[in-house]
Amino acid sequence: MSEVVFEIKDLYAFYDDHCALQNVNLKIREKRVTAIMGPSGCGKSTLLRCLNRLNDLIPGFSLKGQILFRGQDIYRIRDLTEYRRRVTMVFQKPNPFPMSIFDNVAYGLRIHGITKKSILREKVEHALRMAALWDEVKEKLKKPAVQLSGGQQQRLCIARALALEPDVLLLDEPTSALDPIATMKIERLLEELAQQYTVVIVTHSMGQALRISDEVVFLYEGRLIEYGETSSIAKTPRHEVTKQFLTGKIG
Amino acid sequence: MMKKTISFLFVLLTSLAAVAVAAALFAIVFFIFSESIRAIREVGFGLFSPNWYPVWETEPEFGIGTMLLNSLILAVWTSVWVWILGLGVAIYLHRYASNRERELMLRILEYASGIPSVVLGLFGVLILGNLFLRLGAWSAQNFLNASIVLSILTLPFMVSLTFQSLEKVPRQLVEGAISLGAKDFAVIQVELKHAAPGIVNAMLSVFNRIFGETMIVLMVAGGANMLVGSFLDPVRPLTATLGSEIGEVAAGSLHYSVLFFIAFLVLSGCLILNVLTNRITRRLERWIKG
Repeated sequence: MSEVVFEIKDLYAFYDDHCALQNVNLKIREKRVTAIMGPSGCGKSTLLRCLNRLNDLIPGFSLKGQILFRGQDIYRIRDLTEYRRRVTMVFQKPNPFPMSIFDNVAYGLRIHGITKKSILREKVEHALRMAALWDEVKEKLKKPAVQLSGGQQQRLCIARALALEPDVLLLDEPTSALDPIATMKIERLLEELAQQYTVVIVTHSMGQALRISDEVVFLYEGRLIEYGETSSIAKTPRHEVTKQFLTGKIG
Repeated sequence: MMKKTISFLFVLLTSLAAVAVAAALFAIVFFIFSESIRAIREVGFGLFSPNWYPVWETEPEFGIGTMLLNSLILAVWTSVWVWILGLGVAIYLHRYASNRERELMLRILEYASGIPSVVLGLFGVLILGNLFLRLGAWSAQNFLNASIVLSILTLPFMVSLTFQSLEKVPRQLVEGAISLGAKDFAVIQVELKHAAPGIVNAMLSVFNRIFGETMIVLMVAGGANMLVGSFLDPVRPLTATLGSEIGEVAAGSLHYSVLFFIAFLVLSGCLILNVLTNRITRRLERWIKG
């Protein structure tokens, strides 16, 4: 078994009085793709956003329990900037910054103190290559990022996250706003990235989870109801809700 | 049938209104220009000389050079600090202020933006003017007085337009920045880039408003046709001359025509600036909308 990257212990999450996650216990392992699944509103995104501490920004959000990142409680971390460099996030809707393609990828690097042009150029190229976007954009690095297609924008956002040489890549339904071909490209990319990174992906689609994930986590109404190897759960779901989800009765 | 007629009438009326507005604008420009032809023909480049003695009987001089420079210096100087201050206040309200602070400030700004300029002028004359005298200025009405009152006039406008543009920045951009580890400064950088078209629009509108404002400069700038050398010098911008003399002048005289030339200059300045604003805004929007 590979090393545990995230250990989530007795996690409860609240938006004001609404309880979004209840008693979630979970381990996420290194260099594997973990898919978080479940019907809309089950708490998938909340769980993912907790891992980057992005929910801190939401007024009324509170949390009980513990999330350990390589043994360290992430809610006790002082240097969030460094933590977020190691655990980066890609969102549901592509959100390129209103800057050039180059500056989008360089943005994170600059935050983390890299300003030397030659190094920036090298790292930006490397990240764009990893995101399988380099060949499509190398001629127009100075053009506005918003001029790219939706799928390209999403790969740019992945490149932006990869540029930081993170440990974990979090993805919140990264293909739900994209067409099938763009989705396929991103799935292929994720499969490759999984060899180097720990990937946690929220997805709506059972097919996607089967195609790309090693482990799957099922959430239902804020509770974790099942988790384990994707292949075995797909074959023999233990829980009634999972079964219904797999057969498309809920979702 | 009935419905069709009504919708036809509606289209007709609205397009007529649109045409009327465009026609009015052209008519104004044409009228003002045609009234100033005599000045251009008879005074020529002398219009830009520094001396303004329009009612001197033997050798009247119609040079608006000093006033033009004063107008520009006053507008640039005042704009720059309204821009800086307005941007600062808007960023504070957007990012750091508590809900109560924000609401209170926005309410105050709303009321402030409704104050008629003549009332602000009065404040400049009575309160700031006296203060200046007490502090030893040689003229109660002066460049700094005008600049302060003009910034009170335009600051609410700058703040609320900038604030609105910042509030329109999509959450997902801010979250994207934060998720990469961005702190205040780097987050604001993204927000400002997204808000840039709105902010540039606000900045140029502020400049336009200051450059074209008449009542305030008439009341508090001091009215002396001398090039501003210090903040406490009384000055006379273009619009003040136009405002104070147009009512006194003999219609059809050369003096009258020169005043129309001033109007033409101010108007074209404002129009050119508007066109420029649109251009720049559109160019900046390419970075946002693709």
